[in-house]
Amino acid sequence: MSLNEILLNIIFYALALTGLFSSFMVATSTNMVRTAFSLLGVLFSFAGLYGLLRADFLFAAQILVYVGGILVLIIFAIMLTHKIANVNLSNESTSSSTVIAVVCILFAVLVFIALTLPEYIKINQRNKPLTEMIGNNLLSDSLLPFEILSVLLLACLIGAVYLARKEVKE
Amino acid sequence: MLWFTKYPVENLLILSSAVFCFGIYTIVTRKNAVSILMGVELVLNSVNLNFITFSQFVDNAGISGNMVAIFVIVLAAAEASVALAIILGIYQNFGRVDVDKLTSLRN
Amino acid sequence: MDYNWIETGLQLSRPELLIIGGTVAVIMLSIFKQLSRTFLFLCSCAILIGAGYITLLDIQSYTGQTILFKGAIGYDKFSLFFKMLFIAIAFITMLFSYPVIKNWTSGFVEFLSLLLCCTLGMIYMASSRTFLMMFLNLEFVSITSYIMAGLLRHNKKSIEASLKYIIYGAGSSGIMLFGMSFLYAITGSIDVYTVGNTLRHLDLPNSFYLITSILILAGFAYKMAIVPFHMWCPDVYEGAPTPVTAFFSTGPKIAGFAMMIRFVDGVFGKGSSPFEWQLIFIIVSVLSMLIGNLTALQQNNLKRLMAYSGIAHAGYMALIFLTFTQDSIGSLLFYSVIYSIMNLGAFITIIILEKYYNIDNIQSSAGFAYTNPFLAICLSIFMFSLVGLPPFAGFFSKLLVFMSVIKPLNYLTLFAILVAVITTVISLFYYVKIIGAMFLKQGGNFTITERVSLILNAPMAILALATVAIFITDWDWLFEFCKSCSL
Repeated sequence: MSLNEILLNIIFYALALTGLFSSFMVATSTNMVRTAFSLLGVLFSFAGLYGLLRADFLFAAQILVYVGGILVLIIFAIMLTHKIANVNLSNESTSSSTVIAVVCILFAVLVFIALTLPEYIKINQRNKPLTEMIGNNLLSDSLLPFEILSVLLLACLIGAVYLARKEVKE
Repeated sequence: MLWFTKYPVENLLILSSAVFCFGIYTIVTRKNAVSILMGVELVLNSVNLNFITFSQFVDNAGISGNMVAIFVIVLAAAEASVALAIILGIYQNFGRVDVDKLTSLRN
Repeated sequence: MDYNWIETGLQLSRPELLIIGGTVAVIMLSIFKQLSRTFLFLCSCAILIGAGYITLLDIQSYTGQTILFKGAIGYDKFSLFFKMLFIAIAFITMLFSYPVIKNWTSGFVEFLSLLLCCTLGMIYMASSRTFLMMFLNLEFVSITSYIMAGLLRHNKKSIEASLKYIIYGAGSSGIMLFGMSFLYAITGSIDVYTVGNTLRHLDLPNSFYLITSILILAGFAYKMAIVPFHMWCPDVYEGAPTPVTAFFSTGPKIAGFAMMIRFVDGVFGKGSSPFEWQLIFIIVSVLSMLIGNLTALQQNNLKRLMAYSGIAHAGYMALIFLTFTQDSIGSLLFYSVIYSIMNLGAFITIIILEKYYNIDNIQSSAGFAYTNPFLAICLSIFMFSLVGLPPFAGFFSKLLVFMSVIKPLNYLTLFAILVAVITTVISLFYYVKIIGAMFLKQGGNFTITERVSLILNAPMAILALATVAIFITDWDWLFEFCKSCSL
């Protein structure tokens, strides 16, 4: 086993554990700001995992759109909807044993699938860089979804601006 | 490829299942609407991890999994923008964004 | 490189292109302050009429099946049928919403453009063939719906409905995608028909199918508003502006069914499949019929009552998945036409009651029939038709669905049909409660500020007439047409 392999594995498990721990914090932390920054941890560690999986384009998209866009949006929302002077930005949750039990069952079921599924698939890693293939795919197989997406973003733009703006006095 | 024993498909699937469950838990238990939105982001991220894992590791999968992941990212951004606009509207109308305090609709 | 497929695709999607272009045009025209609201409204109507006319020409001449845009959408009579139906629903909705929305201080253009966008999304929902397209268009319809539910943004109920809708919607579509990722893992494809063909050659454990189907059903069931994912329905229906509610109760719901049919047809196929997926639908539809009808009995608010009635009807529609033959899909298409007619009609009466008489619940409508007998009679026609009583079209739609389900008679289908018949009888009570309050009780004075607009009265009368006429005249051609459009 070479040094490269050991390094790769260490990075992989470090990223996975960061993601796991951060998502746990998102689910349970009682402080609003801490929740948001835990989400940052999840997003970054997932971006790192995409990089390890050699999904180069997704690595960049994750950081640009999720971290740069959505997370900033969420932090803005927290600041706009809470009184910042009030330092204690508490984030309550109503946890009951029923919910925890249901989620645990769900997790058990999904782990069961995760352990049985690889038996039925032939595993082989892709080694080519993806950006070129994705570009070609966007203009062939995914052309129609791509165009529909532009109409969707137009509708979103109209809606978000309409809902969020202040009333214009005439 | 450089892994200890074999490709870590199971590990990645268990990680995504765990994040998915945390996401569902967040959606169900949180009171604050912004936190619920974060739960949705967790769910969508776990979906993305699944699709990318399969797209990269399954033998004949092609890159459609990557395409789905890209579209999910864009749609998550679109949905987040609309959701936050709605949350601002809620804040203007109710003065708070806690879901359990919204009772104008009878149940 | 060969680009013929783009040209073919664009030629066959002229109605969609017209709607996209029209939406942008309406938004651009709204910048000019000189143009009146009536003009913008007429523009949007003209777009829908144009799109509907093109579709009508296509549907008459076209037979066969084509795949457009490299397998993204299927172009066949099934998708053309739903294209026509959705354009018709959007047109009627736009027509009767005009008297309401023209008085809004803001949100008029947003309503028109979002309604057009949503129609586009529904059209693509009914024709999508890949997981990517299904998810994308589901989100398209959902996101436009969230905004439409919150259009009255200074109204607490409206914005709260919007928030509840987006929380449920975002969660359930994420769950659906998680399920789809497993199918993608096994088959390596996102095209539903390829997935189905590959699955048939594999020997997978039933538990895998069960878990995956339940996860995927979450997304569809939320759109169709059937039982485990129906909680958003009453709140959103009550809070959203009434024309928008009328649209939600027909368009997106039927679009969800159309997408579900294509998904099931692709992944499991007609006939035998490696997994008894019908069992899931028996449970879901029986629960929908029971919960929808029993909860509706206790409702006083008209829009909430219609929400539960919609859940119950979704349960009746989901019955066809028990057999899933060409006949039963045909009967679902017939059901969705009749259901749209009577539900839109019922909502027009609710809009008139709300706008001119300020009535939004059953109690305050006591004795209303003596004030406006015409409206009361129309409402009774729609209500009786929703129950499924004989002189109205609703009778046939229900009968055909039941008949198509009962053909391979076994304990399960018999059980489902029994529940359906019993709940139909139960549903009589709450529909008749409305009619009884209007005709039999003595009520207060109903003052009216202005005359009821013709644009509301005329569609109501036409839809009521259609409900009766489909029963009396020869309705066979409509059913035959629906059957020929089935997948």
